[in-house]
Amino acid sequence: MAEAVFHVLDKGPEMVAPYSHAVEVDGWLFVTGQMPIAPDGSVPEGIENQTKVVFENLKTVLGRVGSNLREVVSARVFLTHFDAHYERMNTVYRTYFDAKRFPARTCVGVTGLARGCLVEIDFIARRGAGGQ
Amino acid sequence: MSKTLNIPKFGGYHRRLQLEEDRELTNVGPGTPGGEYLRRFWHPVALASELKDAPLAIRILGEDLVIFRDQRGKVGLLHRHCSHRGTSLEFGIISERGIRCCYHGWLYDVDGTVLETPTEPAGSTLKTTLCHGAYRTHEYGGLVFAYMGPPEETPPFPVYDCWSSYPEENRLVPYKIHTPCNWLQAHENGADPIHTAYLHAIVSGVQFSPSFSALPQLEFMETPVGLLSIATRRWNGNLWIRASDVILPNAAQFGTGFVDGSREKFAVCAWLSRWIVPIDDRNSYAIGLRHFNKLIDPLDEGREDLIGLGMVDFMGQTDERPYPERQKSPGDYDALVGQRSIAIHANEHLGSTDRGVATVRRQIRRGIRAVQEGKPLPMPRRYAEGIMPTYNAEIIFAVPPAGEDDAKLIQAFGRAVCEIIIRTGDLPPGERHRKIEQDVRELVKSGRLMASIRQTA
Repeated sequence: MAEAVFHVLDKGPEMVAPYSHAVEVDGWLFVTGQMPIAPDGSVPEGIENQTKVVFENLKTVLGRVGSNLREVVSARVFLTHFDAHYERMNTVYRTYFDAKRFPARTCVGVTGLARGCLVEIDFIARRGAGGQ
Repeated sequence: MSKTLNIPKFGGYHRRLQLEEDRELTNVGPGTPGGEYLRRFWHPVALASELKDAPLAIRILGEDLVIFRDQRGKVGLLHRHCSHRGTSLEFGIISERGIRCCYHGWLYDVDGTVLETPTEPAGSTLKTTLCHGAYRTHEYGGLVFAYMGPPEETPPFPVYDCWSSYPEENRLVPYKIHTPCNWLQAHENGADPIHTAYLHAIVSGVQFSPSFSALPQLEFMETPVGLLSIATRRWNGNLWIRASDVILPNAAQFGTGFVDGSREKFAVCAWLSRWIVPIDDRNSYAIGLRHFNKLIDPLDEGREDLIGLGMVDFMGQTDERPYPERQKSPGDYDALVGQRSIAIHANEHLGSTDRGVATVRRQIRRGIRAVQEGKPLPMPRRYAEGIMPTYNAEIIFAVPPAGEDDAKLIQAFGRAVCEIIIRTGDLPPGERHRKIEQDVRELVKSGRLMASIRQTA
């Protein structure tokens, strides 16, 4: 069995807890849930803006380990205000993927997220899953 | 008044806070003085886009209601609980005509007429003996407005001039945000222009544009629809007037948040029209129409994609920032909700910049008492059919500084220009705006402003 590789990125998205940015086993990438914390440390207002920053952070992590959004096969979305933000998050979320290749997804409402954020998203990606 | 004069240092023990709000001004339920007054006006209650295939349960002025669009396209706003056995009509079935209660099938038209009582025997006259509670609605600009007062006193729906008459290419985008506090304190914020310098620039960093950090001279002038709340600032060689309409009972209009004080501007129109609509005594909606036109927003800085249900394109109107961020740079939402769920006026100490707030309270109290005494409302004086003149303005114009008299000059300029804006209210829109611009240019050129300052010196 292949050994796991623990990717911790130099100057990657701010780390708010003990974790690696991504863990890789056998071509599978398990990407730690990203928060809407911008590179300057700020958190923007509104679920739309926060979702965008989460995606930018996820893209940064994927890019730094040599992957990309086309290789994402599964996503989990966590929302603190599910009823109010579900549709609003989706309008941003769907712009990041090819409409014929949305990852499998679970979206749940939670009671709280780190630093009072409204949304967190994590990914599972598989190297080579993006095709051409 | 709370006794705070003789309290010693470290004397919190002696400063006993008043616990009761000013009920006359703040309470909104049926039968309350304030509630009766507010029920004499049209209020926005929902976004038109919220009315889909299911009824929407809402609470307005302390009343539990249901709002829906029937299959003919007519909007119904009904008391929420069925007249038969009280089941909530939020579980009702929208019909071709009106809404049908899920429990025993009673069918209500949008005006409250009981159309069917299907469990009754043929020939039953039960349905003719009652009418379900219903309110008139009117759609405008993507908002649904309601009138919840006595139907025989329904006023014409006031269409503001700046919505579509001037500038003609104006586009309106609606939004609705829940604010967990009493309506009055949220509404009063519009008559408190000094907060735009402190809350939005000086105390916690620049939130809108840097020009807001210049301390304004304040002026408050009554208009036929309420109050004009005027902040005039110097920004280098220019004077910038931000005159906000505070319209009775609960509407207001504002200029843009991204003003650049260095460019000349003659915009007698609005960037935002907004109502604070009571849900109940301790909750309200900020419901508004954001304006999109080149005159008020020449650099096209509005963000239509951030305007809608629960959101608007300027910061600090919701709790959707992490708490530590809100503590570092609090917005209107934090300042207003932070005044307690109902602000208690007896604990306040109003100062010289609070004249606008005091005036708004006085105007509203006058209206409340007029309704109580069965008299016609003293204001607004222009709620006629057709287009209603408004006075909101953002004017930036070169006026050289007057040395040590500059504060006086700034204040005199704001007052003189707003006098022109109020005086020209009856002119047709295009003509009015040409006249205002012409008169302001003439006013500055003539040197009359400097002369008036020297007289008062």
